[in-house]
Amino acid sequence: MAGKVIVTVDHGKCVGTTICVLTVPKVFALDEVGQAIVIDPDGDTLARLRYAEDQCPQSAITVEVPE
Amino acid sequence: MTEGMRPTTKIHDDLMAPEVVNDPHSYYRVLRESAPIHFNQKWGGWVLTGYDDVVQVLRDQYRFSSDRMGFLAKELSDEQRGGYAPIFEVLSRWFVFADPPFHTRLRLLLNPLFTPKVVGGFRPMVRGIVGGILDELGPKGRMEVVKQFAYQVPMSVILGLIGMPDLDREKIKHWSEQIGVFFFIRADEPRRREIACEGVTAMVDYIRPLVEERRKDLRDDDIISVLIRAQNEGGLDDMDVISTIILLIFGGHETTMNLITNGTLALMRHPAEWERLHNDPSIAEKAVEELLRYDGSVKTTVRWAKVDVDLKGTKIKQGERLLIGLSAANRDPLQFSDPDSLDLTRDPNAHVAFAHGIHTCIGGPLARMEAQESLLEMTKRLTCPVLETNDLHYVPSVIHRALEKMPVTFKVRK
Repeated sequence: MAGKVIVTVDHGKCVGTTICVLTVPKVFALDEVGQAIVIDPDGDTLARLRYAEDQCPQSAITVEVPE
Repeated sequence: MTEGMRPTTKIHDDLMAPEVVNDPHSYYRVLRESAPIHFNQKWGGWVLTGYDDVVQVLRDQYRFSSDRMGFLAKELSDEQRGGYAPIFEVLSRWFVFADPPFHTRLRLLLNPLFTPKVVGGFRPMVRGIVGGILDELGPKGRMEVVKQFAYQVPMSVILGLIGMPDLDREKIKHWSEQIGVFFFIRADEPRRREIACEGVTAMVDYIRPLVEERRKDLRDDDIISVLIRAQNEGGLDDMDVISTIILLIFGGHETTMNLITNGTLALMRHPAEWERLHNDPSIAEKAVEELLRYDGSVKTTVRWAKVDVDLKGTKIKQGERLLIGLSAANRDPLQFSDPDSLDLTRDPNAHVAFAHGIHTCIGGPLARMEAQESLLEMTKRLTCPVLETNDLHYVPSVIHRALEKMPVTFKVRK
């Protein structure tokens, strides 16, 4: 059985475009300096998570599904 | 306003002085060291040059507005506004100059067309374009980099993405430059309003029939078709569609052209780095990030305070404007070690060349890829070029970092 999905944001790359927050608002939020953080990796479908991963202009989001 | 309360500095306020246009980095270094939040009397607004302040303001769309045309309108009389009518009609619909929610609708609509993955798919095409140009110019042993190389690459790409015929690029380029006279703040041009109105009107007249044609024959993924489909769903009018196309033509080539030119010049001034990229193409991604940081194509961007703001103890009043020093932040030693040195593999490199926050350049991934391919192909094929003249002229602009011309000579590698 596949493990839980792991979603990470690289704060070395995130510039706070907020696109992920607008795309899957149940998964991402902004922290106090305006960078994205993961609030609930299970907050949306895997397809929507992958979409958000693709949409980041900075390639700051990684979505992994452990084997 | 009590001017006496404001932090002052010995540095002059003329952002258009030849030495500032020629070498903005030295001017902004002095400013950052003496008054990182400085009220510039001549420009009539605050100039921010410290990395932390720049990032904070760019990420705060709640208190700082990008509504350039809205704030400009307030400064003008009714009669003056009338003279600017064609510019207002178009530029007030540019999402780069808009706040949410208008900004956000267009940003999310167009974002999927510019993602790193989508843009990666164009890489072979861009490599082909760059190669074709160099095939032609190589045997000549000289080129004028801006016009013959740096401009050709992004113009070909953006016209293709938009879905426009590439028949009239000289005309389009001319109108683009006319529009640029207005908002890149070319103070040397007294007729800048008339010129920009002329450019905008010509561009609208050119694009309108293209949009009407495409309406009858929608395509899968060109930008015109994407905008028309969104219009059919409601909320966008004809002028929103036309204005957005003009924005993307403009944003899609001017700044990338300058990035490629400035990047080439930086490498030419560091011939060992030219050879380094030639010897190790795997550093291209990092190299372009460093060139963006070191001498990017957009020196500054502008915001307006929506409310009174206290920025590190400095009181910024509602309605005041702020010049956000992107290039200055990119040379802040508190953020970057040895910031005035070019280091093609600098890491970390959290530069602000594409800004930060909701207005982060939508075309960033595309500009990166175009610059990577341009510089990879040049360093691969050519020996480090040499300037034909040291008398280089930058466009006198507060915002743009743009060379007028850069003639060079080179040899094709054996």
